[in-house]
Amino acid sequence: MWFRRCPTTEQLDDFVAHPEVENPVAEHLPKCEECRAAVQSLLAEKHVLDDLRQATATDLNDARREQIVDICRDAARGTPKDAHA
Amino acid sequence: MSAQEALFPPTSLTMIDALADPSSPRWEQFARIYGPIVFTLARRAGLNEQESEEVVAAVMSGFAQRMRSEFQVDYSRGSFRSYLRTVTRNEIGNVRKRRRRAGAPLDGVDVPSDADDPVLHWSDVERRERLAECLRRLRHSGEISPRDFEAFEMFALRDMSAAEVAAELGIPAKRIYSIKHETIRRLQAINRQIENEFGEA
Repeated sequence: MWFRRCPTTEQLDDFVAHPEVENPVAEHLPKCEECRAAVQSLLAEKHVLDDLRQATATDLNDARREQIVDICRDAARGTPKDAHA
Repeated sequence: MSAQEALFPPTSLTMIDALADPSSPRWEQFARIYGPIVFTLARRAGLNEQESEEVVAAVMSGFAQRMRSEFQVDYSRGSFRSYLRTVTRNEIGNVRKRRRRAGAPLDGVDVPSDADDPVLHWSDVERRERLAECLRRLRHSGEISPRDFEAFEMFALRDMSAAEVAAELGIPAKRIYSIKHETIRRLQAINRQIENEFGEA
Protein backbone atom coordinates (compact mmCIF):
# COMPACT_ATOMS: atom_id res chain seq x y z
CA MET A 1 0.00 0.00 0.00
CA TRP A 2 1.19 3.53 -0.71
CA PHE A 3 -0.37 6.96 -0.52
CA ARG A 4 -1.49 8.67 -3.73
CA ARG A 5 -2.18 11.69 -1.56
CA CYS A 6 -0.86 12.61 1.88
CA PRO A 7 -2.05 10.45 4.78
CA THR A 8 -4.84 11.87 6.89
CA THR A 9 -4.15 13.42 10.27
CA GLU A 10 -5.59 10.30 11.87
CA GLN A 11 -3.22 8.06 9.92
CA LEU A 12 -0.25 10.20 10.93
CA ASP A 13 -1.49 10.12 14.50
CA ASP A 14 -1.68 6.31 14.50
CA PHE A 15 1.79 6.11 13.00
CA VAL A 16 3.23 8.22 15.83
CA ALA A 17 1.19 6.51 18.54
CA HIS A 18 2.16 2.99 17.44
CA PRO A 19 5.65 3.12 15.92
CA GLU A 20 6.03 -0.61 16.47
CA VAL A 21 3.33 -1.33 13.88
CA GLU A 22 4.39 -1.52 10.24
CA ASN A 23 2.82 1.48 8.55
CA PRO A 24 2.96 2.81 4.95
CA VAL A 25 3.28 6.31 6.41
CA ALA A 26 6.95 5.47 7.00
CA GLU A 27 7.49 5.20 3.24
CA HIS A 28 5.64 8.40 2.55
CA LEU A 29 7.51 10.64 4.97
CA PRO A 30 10.86 10.92 3.14
CA LYS A 31 8.97 12.31 0.15
CA CYS A 32 6.86 14.87 1.98
CA GLU A 33 8.15 17.77 4.01
CA GLU A 34 4.67 18.79 5.12
CA CYS A 35 3.93 15.39 6.65
CA ARG A 36 7.35 15.28 8.31
CA ALA A 37 6.55 18.60 9.99
CA ALA A 38 3.17 17.24 11.09
CA VAL A 39 4.83 14.15 12.54
CA GLN A 40 7.30 16.33 14.43
CA SER A 41 4.41 18.18 15.98
CA LEU A 42 2.68 14.91 16.86
CA LEU A 43 5.86 13.58 18.44
CA ALA A 44 5.95 16.63 20.71
CA GLU A 45 2.38 15.86 21.75
CA LYS A 46 3.34 12.24 22.36
CA HIS A 47 6.10 13.39 24.70
CA VAL A 48 3.54 15.33 26.76
CA LEU A 49 1.24 12.31 26.83
CA ASP A 50 4.04 9.99 27.95
CA ASP A 51 4.70 12.27 30.93
CA LEU A 52 1.01 12.59 31.64
CA ARG A 53 0.56 8.81 31.62
CA GLN A 54 3.36 8.42 34.12
CA ALA A 55 1.90 11.18 36.29
CA THR A 56 -1.51 9.54 36.33
CA ALA A 57 -0.24 5.98 36.66
CA THR A 58 1.12 6.43 40.19
CA ASP A 59 -0.66 5.35 43.34
CA LEU A 60 -1.58 9.01 43.85
CA ASN A 61 -5.21 9.20 42.82
CA ASP A 62 -7.24 12.41 43.12
CA ALA A 63 -8.41 11.64 46.65
CA ARG A 64 -4.87 10.93 47.86
CA ARG A 65 -3.61 14.13 46.27
CA GLU A 66 -6.30 16.07 48.15
CA GLN A 67 -5.15 14.47 51.40
CA ILE A 68 -1.58 15.53 50.69
CA VAL A 69 -2.70 19.09 49.97
CA ASP A 70 -4.51 19.05 53.33
CA ILE A 71 -1.32 17.86 55.04
CA CYS A 72 0.62 20.71 53.41
CA ARG A 73 -1.99 23.27 54.41
CA ASP A 74 -2.14 22.05 58.00
CA ALA A 75 1.64 21.91 58.26
CA ALA A 76 2.00 25.44 56.93
CA ARG A 77 -0.57 26.76 59.37
CA GLY A 78 0.84 24.77 62.25
CA THR A 79 -2.41 22.81 62.62
CA PRO A 80 -2.01 19.33 64.16
CA LYS A 81 -2.54 16.57 61.60
CA ASP A 82 -5.56 15.07 63.41
CA ALA A 83 -7.23 18.40 64.17
CA HIS A 84 -9.90 17.73 61.55
CA ALA A 85 -10.66 14.23 62.75
CA MET B 1 -14.69 31.65 39.74
CA SER B 2 -14.87 31.89 35.96
CA ALA B 3 -13.56 29.17 33.68
CA GLN B 4 -10.78 31.51 32.62
CA GLU B 5 -9.75 32.13 36.23
CA ALA B 6 -9.88 28.40 36.96
CA LEU B 7 -7.57 27.72 34.04
CA PHE B 8 -5.26 30.63 34.57
CA PRO B 9 -5.37 31.81 38.17
CA PRO B 10 -4.21 35.41 38.38
CA THR B 11 -0.56 35.47 39.30
CA SER B 12 2.34 37.83 39.42
CA LEU B 13 6.01 37.72 40.17
CA THR B 14 5.07 37.91 43.83
CA MET B 15 3.75 34.35 43.68
CA ILE B 16 6.44 32.95 45.93
CA ASP B 17 6.30 35.96 48.25
CA ALA B 18 2.60 35.29 48.73
CA LEU B 19 3.44 31.91 50.22
CA ALA B 20 4.45 33.68 53.40
CA ASP B 21 0.73 33.57 54.20
CA PRO B 22 -0.40 29.92 54.49
CA SER B 23 -4.04 30.96 54.30
CA SER B 24 -3.38 32.43 50.87
CA PRO B 25 -4.93 30.62 47.88
CA ARG B 26 -1.38 30.59 46.55
CA TRP B 27 -0.55 27.98 49.11
CA GLU B 28 -3.00 25.59 47.59
CA GLN B 29 -1.52 26.08 44.12
CA PHE B 30 1.91 25.52 45.58
CA ALA B 31 0.86 22.49 47.65
CA ARG B 32 -0.90 20.81 44.74
CA ILE B 33 2.37 20.56 42.88
CA TYR B 34 5.07 20.35 45.52
CA GLY B 35 3.26 18.23 48.13
CA PRO B 36 2.88 15.25 45.77
CA ILE B 37 6.48 15.67 44.58
CA VAL B 38 7.84 15.38 48.12
CA PHE B 39 5.48 12.47 48.86
CA THR B 40 6.42 10.61 45.67
CA LEU B 41 10.14 11.00 46.28
CA ALA B 42 9.76 9.84 49.89
CA ARG B 43 7.89 6.74 48.73
CA ARG B 44 10.49 6.04 46.06
CA ALA B 45 13.16 6.32 48.73
CA GLY B 46 11.56 3.40 50.51
CA LEU B 47 9.47 5.17 53.13
CA ASN B 48 5.97 3.91 53.85
CA GLU B 49 2.81 5.97 53.38
CA GLN B 50 2.74 7.34 56.93
CA GLU B 51 6.43 8.20 56.97
CA SER B 52 6.08 9.89 53.60
CA GLU B 53 3.23 11.99 54.94
CA GLU B 54 5.45 12.95 57.87
CA VAL B 55 8.15 14.06 55.45
CA VAL B 56 5.63 16.16 53.51
CA ALA B 57 4.43 17.80 56.74
CA ALA B 58 7.95 18.48 57.96
CA VAL B 59 9.07 19.95 54.63
CA MET B 60 6.00 22.17 54.29
CA SER B 61 6.10 23.28 57.90
CA GLY B 62 9.77 24.23 57.57
CA PHE B 63 9.16 25.97 54.26
CA ALA B 64 6.25 27.99 55.67
CA GLN B 65 8.32 29.08 58.65
CA ARG B 66 11.17 30.03 56.38
CA MET B 67 8.85 32.02 54.13
CA ARG B 68 7.55 33.93 57.13
CA SER B 69 11.05 34.83 58.20
CA GLU B 70 14.05 35.47 56.07
CA PHE B 71 13.55 33.60 52.78
CA GLN B 72 14.64 35.67 49.81
CA VAL B 73 13.06 35.01 46.45
CA ASP B 74 15.52 34.55 43.62
CA TYR B 75 13.77 33.50 40.45
CA SER B 76 16.95 33.38 38.44
CA ARG B 77 18.37 30.62 40.58
CA GLY B 78 15.11 28.92 41.50
CA SER B 79 16.15 29.15 45.12
CA PHE B 80 12.86 28.01 46.61
CA ARG B 81 13.06 24.76 44.66
CA SER B 82 16.65 24.23 45.68
CA TYR B 83 15.62 24.80 49.29
CA LEU B 84 12.76 22.30 49.00
CA ARG B 85 15.06 19.70 47.49
CA THR B 86 17.57 20.05 50.28
CA VAL B 87 14.99 19.90 53.04
CA THR B 88 13.27 16.91 51.42
CA ARG B 89 16.58 15.06 51.16
CA ASN B 90 17.32 15.82 54.82
CA GLU B 91 13.88 14.79 56.07
CA ILE B 92 13.98 11.52 54.13
CA GLY B 93 17.43 10.94 55.56
CA ASN B 94 16.15 11.52 59.08
CA VAL B 95 13.40 8.92 58.67
CA ARG B 96 15.85 6.44 57.20
CA LYS B 97 18.17 6.91 60.16
CA ARG B 98 15.28 6.24 62.53
CA ARG B 99 14.43 3.15 60.52
CA ARG B 100 17.97 1.87 60.65
CA ARG B 101 18.20 2.47 64.38
CA ALA B 102 14.97 0.52 64.79
CA GLY B 103 16.25 -2.22 62.49
CA ALA B 104 13.26 -1.88 60.16
CA PRO B 105 13.70 -2.42 56.40
CA LEU B 106 12.57 0.11 53.79
CA ASP B 107 9.44 -0.96 51.99
CA GLY B 108 8.88 1.47 49.13
CA VAL B 109 9.22 0.82 45.44
CA ASP B 110 12.34 1.60 43.37
CA VAL B 111 14.46 1.65 46.49
CA PRO B 112 17.79 0.76 44.88
CA SER B 113 17.67 3.40 42.14
CA ASP B 114 16.89 6.35 44.38
CA ALA B 115 18.51 5.14 47.56
CA ASP B 116 21.68 7.22 47.28
CA ASP B 117 20.05 10.54 46.54
CA PRO B 118 16.32 10.56 47.19
CA VAL B 119 15.78 13.78 45.23
CA LEU B 120 17.85 12.76 42.21
CA HIS B 121 14.77 12.64 39.99
CA TRP B 122 13.10 15.79 41.30
CA SER B 123 12.92 17.48 37.90
CA ASP B 124 11.25 14.51 36.22
CA VAL B 125 8.74 14.13 39.03
CA GLU B 126 8.06 17.88 39.02
CA ARG B 127 7.44 17.91 35.27
CA ARG B 128 4.91 15.10 35.65
CA GLU B 129 3.22 16.57 38.71
CA ARG B 130 2.77 19.84 36.86
CA LEU B 131 1.02 17.97 34.07
CA ALA B 132 -1.17 16.18 36.60
CA GLU B 133 -2.09 19.62 37.98
CA CYS B 134 -2.76 20.87 34.44
CA LEU B 135 -5.16 17.96 33.98
CA ARG B 136 -6.90 18.72 37.27
CA ARG B 137 -7.30 22.41 36.43
CA LEU B 138 -8.64 21.60 33.00
CA ARG B 139 -11.12 19.05 34.37
CA HIS B 140 -12.50 21.58 36.86
CA SER B 141 -12.48 24.52 34.50
CA GLY B 142 -15.59 23.68 32.50
CA GLU B 143 -13.60 24.56 29.38
CA ILE B 144 -14.01 21.03 28.12
CA SER B 145 -17.14 18.91 28.43
CA PRO B 146 -17.09 15.87 30.74
CA ARG B 147 -17.71 13.64 27.72
CA ASP B 148 -14.79 15.09 25.77
CA PHE B 149 -12.60 14.86 28.84
CA GLU B 150 -13.51 11.20 29.22
CA ALA B 151 -12.82 10.62 25.55
CA PHE B 152 -9.38 12.16 25.99
CA GLU B 153 -8.58 10.00 29.00
CA MET B 154 -9.76 6.82 27.29
CA PHE B 155 -7.97 7.47 24.01
CA ALA B 156 -4.83 9.30 25.05
CA LEU B 157 -4.13 7.94 28.52
CA ARG B 158 -5.71 4.49 28.60
CA ASP B 159 -4.70 3.47 25.09
CA MET B 160 -8.17 2.56 23.89
CA SER B 161 -8.53 2.78 20.13
CA ALA B 162 -10.46 5.64 18.54
CA ALA B 163 -13.02 3.11 17.31
CA GLU B 164 -13.55 1.73 20.84
CA VAL B 165 -13.94 5.19 22.36
CA ALA B 166 -16.24 6.27 19.56
CA ALA B 167 -18.46 3.24 20.09
CA GLU B 168 -18.56 3.67 23.86
CA LEU B 169 -19.23 7.41 23.92
CA GLY B 170 -21.13 7.82 20.68
CA ILE B 171 -18.64 10.27 19.19
CA PRO B 172 -17.39 10.05 15.59
CA ALA B 173 -13.94 8.44 15.55
CA LYS B 174 -12.49 11.41 13.64
CA ARG B 175 -13.65 13.71 16.43
CA ILE B 176 -11.73 11.64 19.00
CA TYR B 177 -8.45 12.67 17.36
CA SER B 178 -9.48 16.34 17.38
CA ILE B 179 -10.39 16.13 21.07
CA LYS B 180 -6.95 14.74 21.82
CA HIS B 181 -5.13 17.53 19.96
CA GLU B 182 -7.33 20.27 21.42
CA THR B 183 -6.90 18.92 24.93
CA ILE B 184 -3.13 18.70 24.64
CA ARG B 185 -3.01 22.28 23.38
CA ARG B 186 -5.03 23.40 26.40
CA LEU B 187 -2.81 21.43 28.77
CA GLN B 188 0.29 23.01 27.26
CA ALA B 189 -1.20 26.47 27.72
CA ILE B 190 -1.94 25.74 31.39
CA ASN B 191 1.55 24.35 31.80
CA ARG B 192 3.00 27.62 30.49
CA GLN B 193 0.95 29.43 33.09
CA ILE B 194 2.37 27.20 35.82
CA GLU B 195 5.84 28.03 34.51
CA ASN B 196 4.97 31.68 34.97
CA GLU B 197 3.94 30.94 38.53
CA PHE B 198 6.84 28.76 39.64
CA GLY B 199 9.50 28.98 36.94
CA GLU B 200 10.62 26.13 34.73
CA ALA B 201 10.68 22.66 36.26
